[in-house]
Amino acid sequence: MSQNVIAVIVLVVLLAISTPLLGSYMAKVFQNKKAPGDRLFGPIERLVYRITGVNPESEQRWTTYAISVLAFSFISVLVLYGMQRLQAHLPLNPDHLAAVPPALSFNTAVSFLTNTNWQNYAGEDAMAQITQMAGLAVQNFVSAAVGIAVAVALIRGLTRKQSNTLGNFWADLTRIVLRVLIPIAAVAAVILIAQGAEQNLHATHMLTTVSGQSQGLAGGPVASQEVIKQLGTNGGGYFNANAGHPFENPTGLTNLVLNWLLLAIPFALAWTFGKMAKDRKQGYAVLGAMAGLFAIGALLVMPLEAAGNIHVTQAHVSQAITSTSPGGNMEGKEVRNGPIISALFNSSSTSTSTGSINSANDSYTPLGGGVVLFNMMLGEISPGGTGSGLYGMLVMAILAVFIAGLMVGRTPEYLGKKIQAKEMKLVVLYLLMVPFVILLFTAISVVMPSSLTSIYNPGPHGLTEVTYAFTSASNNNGSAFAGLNGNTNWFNTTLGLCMLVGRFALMVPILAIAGSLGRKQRIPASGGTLPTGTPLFALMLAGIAVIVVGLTYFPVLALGPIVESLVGKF
Amino acid sequence: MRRQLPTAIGMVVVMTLVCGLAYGLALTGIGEVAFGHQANGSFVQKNGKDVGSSLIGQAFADSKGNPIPKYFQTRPSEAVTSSATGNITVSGASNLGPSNPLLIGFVPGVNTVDLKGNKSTTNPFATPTDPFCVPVNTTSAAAPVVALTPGQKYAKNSDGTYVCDPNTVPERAIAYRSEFGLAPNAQVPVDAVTASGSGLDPDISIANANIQAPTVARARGLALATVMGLVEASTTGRSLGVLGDPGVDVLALNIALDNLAHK
Repeated sequence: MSQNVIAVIVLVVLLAISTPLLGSYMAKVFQNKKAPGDRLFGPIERLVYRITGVNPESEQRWTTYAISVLAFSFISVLVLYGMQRLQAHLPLNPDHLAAVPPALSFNTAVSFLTNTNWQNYAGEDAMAQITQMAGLAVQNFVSAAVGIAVAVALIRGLTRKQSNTLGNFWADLTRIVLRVLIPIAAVAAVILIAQGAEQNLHATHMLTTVSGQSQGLAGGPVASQEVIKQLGTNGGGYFNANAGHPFENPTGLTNLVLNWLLLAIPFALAWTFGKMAKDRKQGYAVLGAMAGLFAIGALLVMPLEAAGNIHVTQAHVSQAITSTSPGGNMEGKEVRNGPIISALFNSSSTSTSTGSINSANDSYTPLGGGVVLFNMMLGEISPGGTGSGLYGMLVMAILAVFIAGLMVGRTPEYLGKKIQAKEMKLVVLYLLMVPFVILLFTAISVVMPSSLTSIYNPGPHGLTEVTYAFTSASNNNGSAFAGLNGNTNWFNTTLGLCMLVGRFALMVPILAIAGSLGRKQRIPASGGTLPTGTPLFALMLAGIAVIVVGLTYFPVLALGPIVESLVGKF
Repeated sequence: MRRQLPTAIGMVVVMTLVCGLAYGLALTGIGEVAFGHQANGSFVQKNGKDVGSSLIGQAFADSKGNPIPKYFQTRPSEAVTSSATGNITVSGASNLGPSNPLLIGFVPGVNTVDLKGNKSTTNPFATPTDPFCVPVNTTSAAAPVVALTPGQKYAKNSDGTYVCDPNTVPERAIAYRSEFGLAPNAQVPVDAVTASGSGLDPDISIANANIQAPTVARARGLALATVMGLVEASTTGRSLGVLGDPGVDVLALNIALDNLAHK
């Protein structure tokens, strides 16, 4: 137990070190300033630009930037769909896995494209190594980079003066992948391999166990995909058990590395924001709100899972945490991780839009499961996904200054930019889109007899399963209360739709806000300006986020986890 | 859109080459050269043959699925053999909710129903040994029944008590106690009666191993101290002393016991 506390502190210290370092480095990369590695990356970048015919100096308006995002995503989804359908005929498929069925291929392609990584398949026997490595892992990189690029475009809109353009999407994409994602992922992958994560191209190894049974252990380029799925807050596991599988996450050290990876960029981007705004306090305020919300979630889940399941205690099963037993709620958890570290991982993964898990969410205690659900409902801003976390939080910041402006009766400003009717309409569109699809599809799913058969656990837990699925898809998280059978036409289609809405119906308004703000003049702060670089504003930001979410989702949370906890006498 | 599409196609191709093939293959090469054993799955051998991976749990059971007393037992597992390929082991969890009768049994006042399926505060299937008993049907699969309907038939023992689903936590605890000679209602370590998230957990808790040790020692005719010595040698600590939780590597322990017998 005391060691678990130290392990949590180690993670916090790592983040405290990496946030300013990585944040400052990314600010240099995004502003095309001199940065370490120029001599290595410069020539590669120029080669990429030459092959693709991109002029990195040519700046794009918000519409062109958005069209570039959509065009890139459109081609990506076609390639990913095709690769799954054709995998039986491609090389690097040593187990001779068959083509993925059409509906599942569509769902998976959309899922990885949108950085959701909801998975209606088990990687072991569904996805060939070529599909994993050259299809899914590629989207892990680029979908993360697209998210970051959109966030950077929004920062540019907020910080530039009377500018019609937001940068060049193709150059942003290339620089983020080459200079940020690949270097960190490669180093982390080597650590993982050294600790025991698989990295090979072998067929499944069939062996006879000590007691004479047969066991078929799948091979594959696991470590390389594992690290980017964390770093890019994607979350789609190479294997069915995701980061609970020993070949993905073999030791306590790898668990720490994976947990750090999924938080590193989302927190660092808040620092980058402060740097690019040339006002570090603005970054601190956003970072503070993110960290505060993150800490609340994690600090709630850890003790809930450590306390265990009271109904297991009644069967005279010891859930006490001792030096010889991990204790706690161990259904769906690994001994090497134990309940506290498992809970920290899943809380981190739902607070970012990662959705990778090292333990089964479905078997969490009712309130523990409720908290990870709430983490996602916050809209993935604590600290959220790579890029999407920052732009989600900046939307909250605009809402916060607007509400403050209403209170004192002045036109609100953020970073010296006037927030007017046009921006507020886009902000409201952004905020309503996701709850609308979640609640609509959840409501239909729990009254339609054909979809009710997909629910695995009876009663309020079943409602939580459905709510969780739509929340996860719409917020591009991808984790699951896996009891729900999502591999049906209804769920494959509606969840796919939710993922697209949660991605593109949010990115386009964000770029529109960025374009509109970028054209505005910067007005100097006056006595009536609400200072946004203060602890008070950070508190207000977190408060606004919780209130917006609370008002939207409280009824469904009350009927799901809260009723289960009360009725089930937990 | 038309102006950006060609760029998009080029960019997807380049990114597939860089992030897919170059990155993945380079790391595979590094892994193969620098950490070949780990990169290939950390396989362990006995008598020169691969018998498993040091990271992946396996069952130590006979062909009927009964535990073999001379071996330490791993945790209950929900891993399955792939139905698509017929041989690949697919990882996975039970995904049972914390109040699901299939996990905690029929707990009176929580999730119990009467024989007609109406809510009830007592468990009609309770047996003298298991007050939380979940009945099974009379088919050969003996599937547990949790959604009760009038007319449903339940399997019974010769003494008239109901046959219970053996996979609930209370039933697993009862089986564990009888297997390792514990008194009725003795405390059972939680990892011994719950399935892991992967279904491939290679470890059991030290408390769990300590309880199993006397039974294994007796089955092998070894001194308890000898077995306990091997348990200690097979205990994997926390990474760097603080990360994660310690556990006993069951495969390493059982192979060490077998090697002892061969000497």
